[in-house]
Amino acid sequence: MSGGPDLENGYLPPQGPLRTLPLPSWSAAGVEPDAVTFEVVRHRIYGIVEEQGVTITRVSGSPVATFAHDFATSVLTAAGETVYFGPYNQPQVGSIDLVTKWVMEYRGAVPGIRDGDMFLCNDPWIGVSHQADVVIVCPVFHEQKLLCWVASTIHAADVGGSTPGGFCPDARSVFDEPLPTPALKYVEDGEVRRDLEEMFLRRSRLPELLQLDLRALIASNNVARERMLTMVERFGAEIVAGTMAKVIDDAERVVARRLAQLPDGEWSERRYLDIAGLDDRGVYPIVMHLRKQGGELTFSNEGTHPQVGALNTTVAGWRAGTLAAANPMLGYDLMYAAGGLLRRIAFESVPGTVLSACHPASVSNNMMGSSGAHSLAISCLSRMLGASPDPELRRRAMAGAATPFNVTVLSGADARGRRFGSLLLDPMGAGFGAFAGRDGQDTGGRSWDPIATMPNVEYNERYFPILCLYRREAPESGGAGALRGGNSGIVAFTPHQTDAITVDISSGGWALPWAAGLFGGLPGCTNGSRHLTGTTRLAELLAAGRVPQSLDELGGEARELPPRQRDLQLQAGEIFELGWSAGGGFGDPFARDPLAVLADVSRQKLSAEAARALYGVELGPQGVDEAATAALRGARAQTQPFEAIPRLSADRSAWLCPACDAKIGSNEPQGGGYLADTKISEMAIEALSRWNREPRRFVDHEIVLRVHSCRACGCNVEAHVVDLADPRMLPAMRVEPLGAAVAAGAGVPGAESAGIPGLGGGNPKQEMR
Amino acid sequence: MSTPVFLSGGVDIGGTFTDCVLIGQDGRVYAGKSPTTREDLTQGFLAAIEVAAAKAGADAAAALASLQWLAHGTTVATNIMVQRSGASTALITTRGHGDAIFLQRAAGRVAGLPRTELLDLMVGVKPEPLVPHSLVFEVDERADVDGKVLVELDREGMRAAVRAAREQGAVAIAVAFLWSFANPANERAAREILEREAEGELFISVSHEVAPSWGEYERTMSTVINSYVGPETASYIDRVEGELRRRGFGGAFAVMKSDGGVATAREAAQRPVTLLSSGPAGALAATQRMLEALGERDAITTDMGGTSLDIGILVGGRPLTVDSSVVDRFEFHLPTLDIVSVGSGGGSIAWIDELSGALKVGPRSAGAQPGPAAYGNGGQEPTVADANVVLGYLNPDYFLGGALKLDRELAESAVARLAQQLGLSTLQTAAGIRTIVDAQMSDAIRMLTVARGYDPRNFTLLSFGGAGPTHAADYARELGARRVLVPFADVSSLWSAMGVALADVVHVEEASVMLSEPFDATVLQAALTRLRTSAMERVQRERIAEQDIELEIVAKVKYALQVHAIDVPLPDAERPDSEALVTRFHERYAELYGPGAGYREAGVEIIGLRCTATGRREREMRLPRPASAPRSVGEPRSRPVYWTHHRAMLDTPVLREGDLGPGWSTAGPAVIELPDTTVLVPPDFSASLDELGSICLERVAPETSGGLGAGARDGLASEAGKGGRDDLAVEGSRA
Repeated sequence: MSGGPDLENGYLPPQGPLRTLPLPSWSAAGVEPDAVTFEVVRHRIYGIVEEQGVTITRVSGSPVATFAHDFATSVLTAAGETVYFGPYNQPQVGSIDLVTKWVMEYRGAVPGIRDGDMFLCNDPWIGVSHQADVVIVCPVFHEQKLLCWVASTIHAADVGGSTPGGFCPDARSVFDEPLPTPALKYVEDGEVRRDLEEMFLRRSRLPELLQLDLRALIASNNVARERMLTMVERFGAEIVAGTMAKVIDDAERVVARRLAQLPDGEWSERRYLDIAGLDDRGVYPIVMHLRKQGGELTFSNEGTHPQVGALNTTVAGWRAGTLAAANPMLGYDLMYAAGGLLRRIAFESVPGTVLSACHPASVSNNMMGSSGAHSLAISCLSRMLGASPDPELRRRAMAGAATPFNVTVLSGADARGRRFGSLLLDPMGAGFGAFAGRDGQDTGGRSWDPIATMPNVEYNERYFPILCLYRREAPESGGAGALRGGNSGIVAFTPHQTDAITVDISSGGWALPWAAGLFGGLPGCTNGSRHLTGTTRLAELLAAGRVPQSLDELGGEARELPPRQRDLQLQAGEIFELGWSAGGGFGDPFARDPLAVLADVSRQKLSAEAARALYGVELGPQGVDEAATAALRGARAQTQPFEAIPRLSADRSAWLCPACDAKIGSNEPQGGGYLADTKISEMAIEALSRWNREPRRFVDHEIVLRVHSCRACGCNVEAHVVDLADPRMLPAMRVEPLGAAVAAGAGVPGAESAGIPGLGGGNPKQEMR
Repeated sequence: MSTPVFLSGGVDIGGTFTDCVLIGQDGRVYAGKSPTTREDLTQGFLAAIEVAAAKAGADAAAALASLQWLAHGTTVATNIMVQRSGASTALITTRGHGDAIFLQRAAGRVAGLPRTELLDLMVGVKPEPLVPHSLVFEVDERADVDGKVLVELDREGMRAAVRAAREQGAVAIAVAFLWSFANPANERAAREILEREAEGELFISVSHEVAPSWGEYERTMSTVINSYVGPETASYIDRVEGELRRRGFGGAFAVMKSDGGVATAREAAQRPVTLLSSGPAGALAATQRMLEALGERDAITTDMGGTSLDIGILVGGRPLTVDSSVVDRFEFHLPTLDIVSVGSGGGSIAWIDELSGALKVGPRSAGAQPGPAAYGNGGQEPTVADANVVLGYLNPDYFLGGALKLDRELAESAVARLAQQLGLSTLQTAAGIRTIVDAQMSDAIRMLTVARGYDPRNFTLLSFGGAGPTHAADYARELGARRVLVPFADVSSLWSAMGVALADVVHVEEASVMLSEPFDATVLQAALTRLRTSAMERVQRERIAEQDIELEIVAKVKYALQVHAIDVPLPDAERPDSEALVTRFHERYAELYGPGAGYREAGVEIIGLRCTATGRREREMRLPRPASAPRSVGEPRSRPVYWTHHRAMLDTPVLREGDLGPGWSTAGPAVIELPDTTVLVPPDFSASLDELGSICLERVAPETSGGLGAGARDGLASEAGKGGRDDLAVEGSRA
């Protein structure tokens, strides 16, 4: 078998058994591990995925591995189901089981899968999110029978392509990017294949560092294999295999139980990704439909824009981004046993779209599509959780987390001739979306990597020849809401002890925010970068004993940079200011307790102006000015706190305002949608926070925030970004009666109106896991 | 009897007991325990001294009058952090960087969280800041990466900040500027202004003095915490010392620090942050002394109490240290002993995971209140200690030497309730609980050891704390460690106080020098000289003679493009040899991270220097040992005890302190009931007394293993099948 159409459209494993040659493997074989042995073995397997991570950081030792934890580790069953993965980069976990299953399907005959082998892969059409992620999977045999797979992946030091670091902002196709490599038998009979190693390293600008990263993966797999086999000696292969199977079964059961507490239904979300390459001024819709039927979830990306420019991800990146949302939202207490969750999730992808690009599209900037998918999935899943009668599940509904990453790479040489080149990691300190029951964490990190950190300013000033003028939390960057979105940050620096620094940017979320608010909460702020050029007053101010704290003090000319930028030269005396997106808000901001707004202002989370403009709260010297606040809030003022989640009417035909129970829309298949009866108004994107810019500055589209409010009480129940040229009624929610065995068909309001340009409809849907 | 003269004493105040160890002129050890008096800690302090002194036939007053040195282990700083009862503290920092303590490098959401909770986005929340926004002041000043001052301190702005802080009620001030460790000029200027403005009324901490290290967030936090806990800690130390002086104490008064050494009260009060998390440090100091006496080098210490297991590692006779720690999700820089706590203890609760049907142990603990079911204080849920009672390991009538009566029936019925749900016998369930907690502990010890680059099989395990010796043989077997030492008799549970009494004076001085290869010899030389001088001065202030001071200087070295810095000793600090330093670094890196793990092409850099000045107080310190001969005669005791690989209760010899004497040894199985702990000798172990008098457990029969998992192939992990496969043991014997 060859890679076949998978290498064209992207691989998704079949819903049934894998198409493999017979591969003798260990199973529980009727031996059920007892309650004690299970716990001992389970605990130890979890220890193994952590020990793999320890091994990777020790051997690789690179900053991206250690600070940003851009690696992942897994133990998988003989069938390629994920048992446990380590607490590291979650989207990368999604690539491991894909590569493992692909190897089983396509490498079983030639070159064969044997004891002592390991397979290397960085092909986005097989499993990785982008080419910089390299996976090595290793089958573990005991007495000639396959016991399990152990695997590791890392965002490797340079793997070639037209731009250092591997994000190519202007790639026309994958041929301008790092070369994808389908799974190779990289280690054979315990030895690295020297020929293949040299072939792989040859592509890199930093071959020695890449070699260390690959060695780290192999060392990690070796540790895991040795530990698994030690357990087999100790407990027997059936017990170990049985424990792995039971971990997944148990996790599946938890997910199934959780799903049983939720009504069937269908939830849809739409976002716009902005700017697909250098000099591009477009916006491109991406769509997610989440369908829940009984104990099964199906994610679909139908309606997403056709693949375009350097914006795309393969189906692997879409699945990875989606899973990175589903795992913490549905499996938060499962110790990362993703295999169980995956049994309950199906993916329907439309090949040839931004979220499931076909070869040879550019996919090195997959972070845009994956982040978009992550953001869509958070919103869809939150709407679903919001429909639960169980408050424990409802309180976990959350607005969108800060996204996408402001990908900014600095490179060059310092005064001593030392070369540098690396991603700025400050945007790791990003705001979380607000939860139904709690504000979003300010500068809390990234939900897709539970333990990543941002570097100290002193680390940055040592790695890069820069001087950082300020790095702060950005007030009101988090979306306003009854529960406030988490703030993100802003940093400004100037070249120091060097003539110039080269800056490359490959990001999005510039013209419009991607981090959506939920149920009336406003989106988090946009990404953005500014370049202060010309003659600045920096030297003069420093000499006068002042450290400037805003570009306004500095003279010169401030240029708003676009999200795709190549080879920008930042000269000595100039300033680069970078801000990053923040978390979305939850519920109508006018429903926020004025005292909470006061506390926000006193803790510099919010300016007094934003308190007035976004929250309708006037502050005076004595605290909240109640009269002025009442006047500002007017009819929208709420007297009682309420849970900002729309409810269904008793007959389940209508959606009701969470504040006053008036009808806001229909839950009937042809009723016009969940927001049919709302009053619609518009808000300018740049009015959302001081960090947002006019969309027209970057794109040729009329972009606004569309706000839906209750006609009876004025409470905002939904606020979402729209392109006025593409005015679809989304988001959508339709919920079946709880416990209904079968949900209605495909009737997603607004989404069925086809006519998406360029889709062509020629590509069949892939319906696989 | 003539009044004895005491050379040294250690008093360690814990949550429940205050422990005291007094060391006589002849090296003999007298230990005492007294309940901790929370209202006024000094009462328990003095009471414990009285109990210990009484063992030497002295009263407290006589003991205090003769005592030359008294050291104190206190949780006062830790408690201030836990209760958030510290001083109103202001931070003055570099313009543009006042948010560093709020950003917390994004890590504050999850720092220190157990891994089980990491993925739950609802759990992680940053802590309430120690300094409110309104008390953070930014002033104009700036140095760069090379320590070059780009902007001198705005003195007027500094004065204004101090005044504003005081007006808002701040009583403690922290000053932390960017790159101050590379050039402290601006911070020194700030200190001068502060001192002038403060009129002696402010507690002042300055970052280059508290934690001169690379990384502004962690350095700033150390400085802030120092000020936050400063006033109350200083006044507590003053109060204790005052009380002691009033009672005739004329010796030196010292305080235990988290770096494993002690400092005199005056020094410690300046840097109270060094007292934070100093609780477990005493035990490592005692272990260090023990290894010296045994001529050994490598050990893992395991202190298992009611709620947690504290794990420490000594390599080459010295405890491993770390550069930073976490308190309340704040990460702060401070060289401290590398001690990790995991949630397995005697009070850990056993429960059934409804979904998987698996038996789980912890992390919830019954703590001291209500405690295990057997305590009879209303605890309903079965704990590890209850399992130990059911299995016959703990003697209900001789727990804590009989001080606490255990109720065997309550323990049994608590375990039986669980057994019913599992469909197992009570005995099987109790054995299962032990199996799981022992596996958790061995997994944790193993992970910590390998993560630091060491193989646990090459280490001696030291076991102490109330619950440790009851489990040590089982987790040692799992780890493949060949030997377990349990400090003798009542000292086992007083091991921390022992260490407090024995600890050397230690001062760790740091200098963050940033040098790239080839190193500038002049810069390195100058930094080393400054460091040495300053460290020497500090120890000399502690009444330590020059010939008793040992200096250990290390450079923190890393590959330029990698992140792991390792300590490379600079034995010839007078004239540092760069080439030799780099060679040693390459070798050491390969030892720790594996051959070829370093990216040499990127070059090597020094990111800091550290000088540890150790003032040796006593070179001849004897550890406690049993009396010359076994004292007890009469009927040998025995009772039925469950041994895993016999799957049955066997009549097992029970020994007490008095049954042991020099040259004593026994084959397992046996149970040794010491006053504060119970030592298990499983059938595959032997026990003997070593030359220092510690109980030494050694694995003798790997082929007839017992305990965890031995019989897993045919059923319960805890139900040993004879001749069960036990690969860890095989590994152990290979090592």
